[in-house]
Formats: sequence, structure tokens, C-alpha cells
Amino acid sequence: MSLKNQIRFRKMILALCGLIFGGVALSDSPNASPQFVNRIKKAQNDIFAKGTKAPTASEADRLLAQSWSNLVDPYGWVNAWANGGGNPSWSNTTGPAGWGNAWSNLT
Amino acid sequence: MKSKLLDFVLRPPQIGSAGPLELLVLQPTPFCNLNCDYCYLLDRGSTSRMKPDVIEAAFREVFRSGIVDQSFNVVWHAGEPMVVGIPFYEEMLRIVEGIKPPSVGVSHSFQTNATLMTDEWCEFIKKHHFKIGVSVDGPEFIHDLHRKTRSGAGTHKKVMAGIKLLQKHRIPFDTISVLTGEALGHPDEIFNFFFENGIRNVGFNVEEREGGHSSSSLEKAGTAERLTQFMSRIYDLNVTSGNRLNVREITRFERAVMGWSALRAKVLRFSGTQENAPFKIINVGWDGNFSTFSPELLGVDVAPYGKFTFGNVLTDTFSDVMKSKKIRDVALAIQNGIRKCENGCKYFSVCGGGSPANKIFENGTFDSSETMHCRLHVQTLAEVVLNKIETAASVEEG
Repeated sequence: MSLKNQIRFRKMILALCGLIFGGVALSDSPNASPQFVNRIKKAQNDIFAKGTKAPTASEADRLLAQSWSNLVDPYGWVNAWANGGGNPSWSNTTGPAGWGNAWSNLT
Repeated sequence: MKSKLLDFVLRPPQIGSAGPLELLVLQPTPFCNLNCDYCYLLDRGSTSRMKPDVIEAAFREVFRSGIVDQSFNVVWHAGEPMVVGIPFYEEMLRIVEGIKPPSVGVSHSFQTNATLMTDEWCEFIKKHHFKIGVSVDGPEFIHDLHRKTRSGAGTHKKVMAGIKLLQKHRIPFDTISVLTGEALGHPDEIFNFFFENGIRNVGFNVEEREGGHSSSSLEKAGTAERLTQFMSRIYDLNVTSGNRLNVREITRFERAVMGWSALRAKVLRFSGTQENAPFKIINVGWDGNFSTFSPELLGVDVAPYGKFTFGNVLTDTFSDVMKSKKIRDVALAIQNGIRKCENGCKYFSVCGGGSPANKIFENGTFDSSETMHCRLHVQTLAEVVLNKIETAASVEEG
């Protein structure tokens, strides 16, 4: 099995395990502070209430993944490496169209 | 058979899942024509260059290994990439084109100080669709405090000449600025600099302690409060300007909020972030030595692992390296560190476990959680963004 397929297979199995055995128990991180989670949920509602289009599930997957890795359009795979270095940048990994800059709708 | 299958399935949580490759960082040379005093590169005086056989071996192994999904991106970095000249990259492009499978997309980017930019470089960049990131810290009086030549002279004028050339040729670019203790006192000047110079995509990195840079001007009491004031002011100035700047740090946490769900975060926890899952980033030094995880770690001595390389593209395969004890030890320590983050930090929901490089340079081990980088670049900035959303909503409701 190629390395790529091994990786895919493992991820698939892990995702399935997570879904099957996770359920309610896995719905939050062990430390997920209810207050902090509520702030995030409320902020989400505030943004969408302002008319910003909610992302689809697959767009949301990408948004969270990009955010965790500090990879933000329009920069592409911008990374917060070391002191101004390491900013691989291109602009063709455009985010979901339609919601643009939510901040302009918030203020 | 059962135990083999179980082992196969259970291995990833211990070592982190691997790939697919998103970013290939190649070091054309360690040399930099500047000598910024916060640079993490220890050997930036070395004029060694990556040879064609190393370039070919690196790409050949990437394509052969099956680590690529559909496309990946190459960033030429870890030294000033433009010092090796246009012919270096023309030859590289010929090599890659000769061995690249048709189904795989490869894009290239430079992270540059822009001081060597010329019309010829701009033509090359446009022709081959290279993407550009420019390192500039803001106005001259801030930039030249740290971004200097070896003789100690400022570099701002040359950087701006490069930026003007990019703009003349209508080449899009973004910028990265390092926030030092001095810079935090000047949000208005920094914002106005970008705004007035037509620079629209801006990222701010906090000055980190890592590699050859053993202390940071931000390691002082009160820095989080100063950073809060700085970024809040940048945010407000941007609103006043009609949100003309895209500020990466604001966008990042806005997107974390928009994309967040408990289950999504949990699933993402398994696949890991770019820096803390093996082979999402592959870093190849000029001599062919390669690593994965945080790029700043390549070639650095980090106890107890020794030199942070896992092999050499001229002699080793990624598959073999994946089986090595060294990478398993590193990956396990990184995973243990992420677990500490997950169990002890409420910001895990918008972070995913931090940067291995910051952890080992600040805490001495990957198996650790909070760092100064976390406190500033994640916790403080996430609070700024959440507070701004909450304030805007309460004004609206009021």
C-alpha cells in the first residue's frame, strides 16, 4: 500500500472511530471551557446575524483547518514562522465566495 | 492479523497522522544579504547553494513517495531566495517539469526581503506565477531598528524600492511584519504606512525566541496588554478605513469562529495542524538534509534528538524515515504536548496545539504546552477578535 493510501486509510479509520465512539463524550475537548465555547457560539451567531453567509460544512472544515494552521486567504499558506520569515504566500486558495470580509458587516 | 490491524490503526494517534504534503520548504541557500538582529537562522553567512541533483532528488522523492494528494506548494526560503539569481530557478523549473506527474499541481513562492528586486525578476515572477511575500516591519524608523545590513545600515529604502517594482508590475504580494517591543507602541504609524503605500495584505508575527535568536523584546511583563492595545487599534483604524487592509491575525480568528464546531474540532484534532503532523510540511536544506514539522527546526541541535534532520533526499526515502525511531520519538513527544494543550488550555478550540518549534525553544521540550508565542499570537489575539465581535454585537443590540 502506498504511503498516501496508508495515510488515507488510517485517517478514514480514525475518523470513523471518532464518530462511532466519540458521540457526546467527544463533542468537546476535555478542557473545553463552557464559557469559552459559548463565546465562540455567540460570536458565530453575531456574525451570521449580520448577514454574513454561513459557510457550508466543507467550507467550515477548511476554515477551521486553515485557522488552526494560521493559513489564511488571501495569503494562502501563510505560516507564522519565525520572525518575519517563512511566509509562503500565494493567493489561489481562495476561501468560500460570498462572505468576504465579515468585519465590514459587523461595525 | 487482528493485532497487526489494530496496531496499524492505532499508530497515528501516537505519532500523529502523516501528510498529505501541503508545503515543501526548500532552502536555495542559507545566505541572506541582510543581517536582521532577530533572525533565527544560524548560518545565514554561508554562501552554500542547493545543487541541481538535490533539487531533482527532493522533487523526485516527493512525487515517488505518494505523499502528495493533488497539489502542494513550494516556498523558497530559509535564506534570501533571490540571491541565487534567476538562472537557478529557471533550471529548477526545467527539472521539475521533467519529472512532475501531470496530475500533480505545484506552485512556487518566495518569502523575500525584496531588496534585490529588479524588472527582470518581476518578469520572471509574472511569467511563472510565483507568489510573493515581503518582509517589512512598517515605516523606516521601525523597520530599520532591526532589519539591517551586515554593516549596520538600514534597509527600508531598498525594501520599498522592491515593493514599488512589484506594484509597478502589478504583482500581488503580501507582507509580514515582526512585532517587537518598540513596534507595539506605534500602531497608527504602522497602519498608515501600509495604507498609504497601497499594501493591503498584512500579517504580523510576534518576535519569537528560537534558533539563533535567544531572547525576545516581548518577554516582558505587560506585553500582552500592549499587544491587545496594538491590535485593537489596528482593528479600529481598519474599520475607519473601510476595512481596506486584510490583517491576517484578524482574519485567522474570525475564520476560527466561523468554522468552529465541537465535532469539527475533534475530527481536526486527529489530522493535526501543518506544523505538528508529520509530512504536511517537508523542509529540505541546501545540502539535501530534510525534516518535517516546524521549518525553523531544520538542522538545529535540539536535545535530546541532536541535529533536527531525519534523512537526506539523496540517500533516504520518506517511507523509511517514517519508520525511524527518531521521527517516532519526536512525533510522540509532539503529540503528548498537544494533549497537554488540549487538556489544559481553553484556547485549544481555536488553535489545535501550538507550534513544536516554539515549545522546544521556549520550554526545552516538545512535550509541553503554553509558550510566549501562544500567549501572544494565539490567546491575546483571539481575545482581541472575540472582544471586537462582542462589542459590535452589544452596540447593535443596545
